[in-house]
Amino acid sequence: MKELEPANRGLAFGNVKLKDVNIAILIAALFSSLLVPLTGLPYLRFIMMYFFAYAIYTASWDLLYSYSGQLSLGQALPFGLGAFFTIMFIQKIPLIPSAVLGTLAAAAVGGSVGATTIRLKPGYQGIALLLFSQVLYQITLILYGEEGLSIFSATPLSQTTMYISGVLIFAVAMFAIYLIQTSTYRLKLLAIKGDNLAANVSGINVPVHKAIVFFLSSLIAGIGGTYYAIFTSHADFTVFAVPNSFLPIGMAIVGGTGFLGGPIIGSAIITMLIRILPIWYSLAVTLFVYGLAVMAILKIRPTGIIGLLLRRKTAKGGPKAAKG
Amino acid sequence: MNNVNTSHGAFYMMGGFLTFFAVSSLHLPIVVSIMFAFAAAFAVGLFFLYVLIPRRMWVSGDPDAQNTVMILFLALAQVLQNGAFIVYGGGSVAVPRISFGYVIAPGGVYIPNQTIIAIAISLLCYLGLFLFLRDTKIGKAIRAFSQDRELAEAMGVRVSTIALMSFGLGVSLAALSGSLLSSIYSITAATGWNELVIAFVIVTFGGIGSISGSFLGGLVYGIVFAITQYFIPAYSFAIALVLIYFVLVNKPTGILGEIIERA
Amino acid sequence: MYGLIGPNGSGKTTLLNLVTGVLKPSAGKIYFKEKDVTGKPPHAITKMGMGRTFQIPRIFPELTVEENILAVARGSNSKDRLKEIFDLVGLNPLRETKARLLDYGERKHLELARAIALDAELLFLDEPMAGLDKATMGAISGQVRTLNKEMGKTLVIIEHHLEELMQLTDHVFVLDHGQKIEEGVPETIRSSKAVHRAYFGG
Repeated sequence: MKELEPANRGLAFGNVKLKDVNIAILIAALFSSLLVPLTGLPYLRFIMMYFFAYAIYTASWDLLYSYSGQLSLGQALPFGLGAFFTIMFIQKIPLIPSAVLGTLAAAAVGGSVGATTIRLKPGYQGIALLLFSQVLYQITLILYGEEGLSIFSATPLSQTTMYISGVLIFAVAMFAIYLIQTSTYRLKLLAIKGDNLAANVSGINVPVHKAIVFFLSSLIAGIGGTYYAIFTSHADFTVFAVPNSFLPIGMAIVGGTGFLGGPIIGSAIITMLIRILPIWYSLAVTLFVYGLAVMAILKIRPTGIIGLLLRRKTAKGGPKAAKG
Repeated sequence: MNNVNTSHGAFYMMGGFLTFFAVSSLHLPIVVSIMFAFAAAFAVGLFFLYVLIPRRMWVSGDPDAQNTVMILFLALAQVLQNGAFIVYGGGSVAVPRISFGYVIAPGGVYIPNQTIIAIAISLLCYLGLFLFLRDTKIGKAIRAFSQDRELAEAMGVRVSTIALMSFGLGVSLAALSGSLLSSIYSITAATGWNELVIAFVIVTFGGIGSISGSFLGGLVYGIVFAITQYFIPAYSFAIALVLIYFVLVNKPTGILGEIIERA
Repeated sequence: MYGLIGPNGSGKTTLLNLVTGVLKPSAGKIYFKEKDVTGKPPHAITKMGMGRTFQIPRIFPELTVEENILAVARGSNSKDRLKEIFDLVGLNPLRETKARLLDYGERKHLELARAIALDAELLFLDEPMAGLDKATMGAISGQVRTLNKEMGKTLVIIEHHLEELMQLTDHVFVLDHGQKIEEGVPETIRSSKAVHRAYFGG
């Protein structure tokens, strides 16, 4: 299939202009993340680390939603599992194997849980996933109490190491998602999203692919959760709370679903919002405003910020161009 | 409405808070406060449905629209939750009971009067809802519309009004249960998600569209929960849900759902 | 080239759904190419060499016409093969258009194109001419004929436009109330009393 599919021509910025925008946004994000340490503001660096984790988290949700049409209201499950598993492993084995194992474990559990929801109708699938994240909320509260788990290490990682690894993890994860979004595999996924039955009778193994996307999405979310646990040195039951499942949804909506650039932009804005606004107002006010903002965007410009950017470009290819 | 209301739990929470508001700020007697909460929730629900969601999405089979609505409601839940937190903080609200005191059941079990009242009111609501849907003109319109929307529309049923009314009724019932239970269980700004999940499980277990199904589902859940609470108290919530979830996966139409669809 | 006809409610679409795996039979077995396919999921049966279209076209709305076909295409995917398909159904000018923007007639063509792309040996066409104007019907008719004669595919066509069907097919099956009541060449069907009774009653 390779010689025909134009979008698969790697980084050759060929006829599909929209690819430019997403790669451009990714590069811009990487560039600014490298500039930030130069400003000498340690709090800004801290915010960036949140941005890395949340951007990955949001992209994982968007992959599931925009490319296989499955709405997850419990994305906190794989994210939180990444965090918890990693910290659990760190108690026994060194950092890097813990991170890898933690992420894989999150992918395995998240994917399996998601796979059970495949036959449910759209609305019910979302709530079923919320159900599972709630179950984990209760379980981790019981098992680890309100303090949760923390990393106590004789040789903690330096800020620089954590920051650089964040940049790298962010770059790799985002690029992986980009590859999926421009591959020929995306056609199968979008076909499934467009019409389950038609895809099935056309020879596409719908249940298997729907499950695969869950594993992929959980893997990416797990990466985000793992990094989150590492730079905050902590994981507790609140990571599974429903508002944490809403976070990637709102960020994707604000930035725009369907393209890599959307989650990046959305998480950049919202991370800034929730890390800076509470300096003057409380966190509750910030989240209140956040909820209102999401509702507003859905009413006024449902395609999000990336929709704004893409309207200038040709409305060609890609899942959801120029709907605004 | 062909959709799942993700803010349902938030309305349960609102029920408790609205009741508290009525009692402490408006100085209304408790029974009136509960009615106030019911009506206020109805109004708030209607308001948000009307303002937030374009009419064409109120009833839609289109998964895109359904997903958007679910996300919108989830955002609404965040707003309501944080709004309650801003006004009342993170603690639970102290709502007085309608009747203090206990009844001693056989076996030496103490049952609070409030619980009995809550049970009585829910039974009344179930009965009322059942009769309402079966016998009244509006009730029949709702049932017609849930079975075949286009046909109902063609027959003159005003679809958007029906959607509005059923949504309002739904959330005000959620608020009612919150009002009644807020004096027994603590309700904080973060409450509501467990209740949403439980409600979802019960309704789908019993079968969508079947009131008697939800009743049956509620009983089953209550019993399973109580039993697991006796043996493994801490995990009872999780176990009950997971059990019922697996029944769900094996019979997605629910226990009584199929029957109702043919009837 | 086979035809499958019968009055409304006789079970034609149900039969199609059963054979393609969309419905599971409560009793009995279905064989395709001498293998038991009863209860297999649709995608597995399709991979064995069977394809179908839907009466009301089910397109993938967000993909372009070209992507609709690429998403399901099996076998060789060279530029030539795709060009062949596009030429056959006449959708060349609409290649880059999003499928949801197509009108009914264009969608019917896309349905057909997608079925061809499956590279199936046996194709079921569910009312390929339903709701079309005379000109489009003629176009589809011609395309179906080409599929059979030049591409060597075995076709089973469900249709209510009886005249067009009789002209296209060599052998017709008639269904009524879930039972086969007649089969044979078009002339036999035309003169069959059983068929008349089924359609017009007594």
